[in-house]
Amino acid sequence: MNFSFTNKRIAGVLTVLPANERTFMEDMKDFDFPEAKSLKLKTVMGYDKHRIVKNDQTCVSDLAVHGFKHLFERGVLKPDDLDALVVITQSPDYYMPASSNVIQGRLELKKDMLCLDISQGCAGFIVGLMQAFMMLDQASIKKVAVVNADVLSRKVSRKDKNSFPLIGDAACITIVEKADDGQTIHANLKMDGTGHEVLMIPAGGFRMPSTAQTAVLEDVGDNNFRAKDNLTMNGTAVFNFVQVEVPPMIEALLQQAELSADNVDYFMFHQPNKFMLNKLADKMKVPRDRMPANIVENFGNASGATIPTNITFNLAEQLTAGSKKLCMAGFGVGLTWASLVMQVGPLAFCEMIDYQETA
Amino acid sequence: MDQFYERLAVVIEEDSVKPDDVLSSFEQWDSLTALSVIAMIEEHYAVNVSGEDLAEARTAGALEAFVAGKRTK
Repeated sequence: MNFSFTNKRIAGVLTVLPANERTFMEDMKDFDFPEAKSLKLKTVMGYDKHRIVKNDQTCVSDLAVHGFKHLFERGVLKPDDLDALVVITQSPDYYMPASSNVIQGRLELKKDMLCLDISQGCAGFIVGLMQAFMMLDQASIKKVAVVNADVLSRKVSRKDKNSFPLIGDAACITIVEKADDGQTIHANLKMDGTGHEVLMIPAGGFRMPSTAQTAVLEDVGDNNFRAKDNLTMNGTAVFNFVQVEVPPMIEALLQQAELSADNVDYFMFHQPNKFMLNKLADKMKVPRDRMPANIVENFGNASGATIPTNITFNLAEQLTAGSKKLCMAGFGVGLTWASLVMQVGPLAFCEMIDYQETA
Repeated sequence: MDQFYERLAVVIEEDSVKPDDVLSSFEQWDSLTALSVIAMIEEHYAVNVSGEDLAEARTAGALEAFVAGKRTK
């Protein structure tokens, strides 16, 4: 379905990464796989290093609170200006309450505030922006913080070479506000719940509570070992879904916005791996330098945080100094695929900081 | 098509590869090796090969001819 929004803008983007970095060469030692093959995986997929929390107590709210405090201290965001807090995560601190309430409380934000958690993954930046734009249609809501945060590395088996080398943890804070520039923002989104098992964590919810059994690593074939408590991804199904659904989605979006691909400065897509993105760029006949694919090799894939991480890592200078037309797209768990095209910048802030874990 | 067979041999983990060799008959041939061959061709010969192209080529020699043909276009 198609969406459009007017008079909204992104004011700034901040990425918070755990300081702890792991290399693929270290990851390899845990795989039950010949070294020569692991090195092929590294070359083809573009794996190198990734940021993951080292402590199994580190939560989404820790990364997000660190980021908000940084923005408050830098003076680029005033706590009282925030009217809504939207947290998009699939690794919340608790089942209840919502992580948005945990963050609101830890920061002692005002009570005249709408806090909302959304369960979304790789399309979570687009879904979060759309939610924020809808909220901004209310007179009482002038500024929304969209927080894309996940610490899913804690749910990935280290002996699963399908998922572990690419997983990353991060929190991104995007401030969205009302504008009077007259710009129409176009977006579209589709979902297919029949594919809900393609990307999932089978155990730990109410359908299959975590037990001693669900924690046992099982041989799942292809030299991979994972437990029911772990994240599982059917890589081939994801790859095929992306190659089939994403190019027509972008074509439809540009048509809706009456733009051609040449009018778009950058295609800032979710970052599953370098291989998949390069294939997408080729298929869409977009030059690879206009579709950055370097997030997984530097930081890993932190689900809904990859698009804002992509923006802060690759476009910080351009977007603080000026403005660019960005076409953004996310695709993954649900299944969900969503895209949005808008002018972004100049931003009040567009940066990356580290979070040092205490213990 | 300088060093094509040498580069192919490295990816396939063989000492040498001859034109008549059937790709899928190599001991180390699997989906990851196929992707690695595609990546190697892209990097060194700037040609985009799809999984279907690779399957159709069948032999190392046919693959070499396919890539060489694309390069001259």
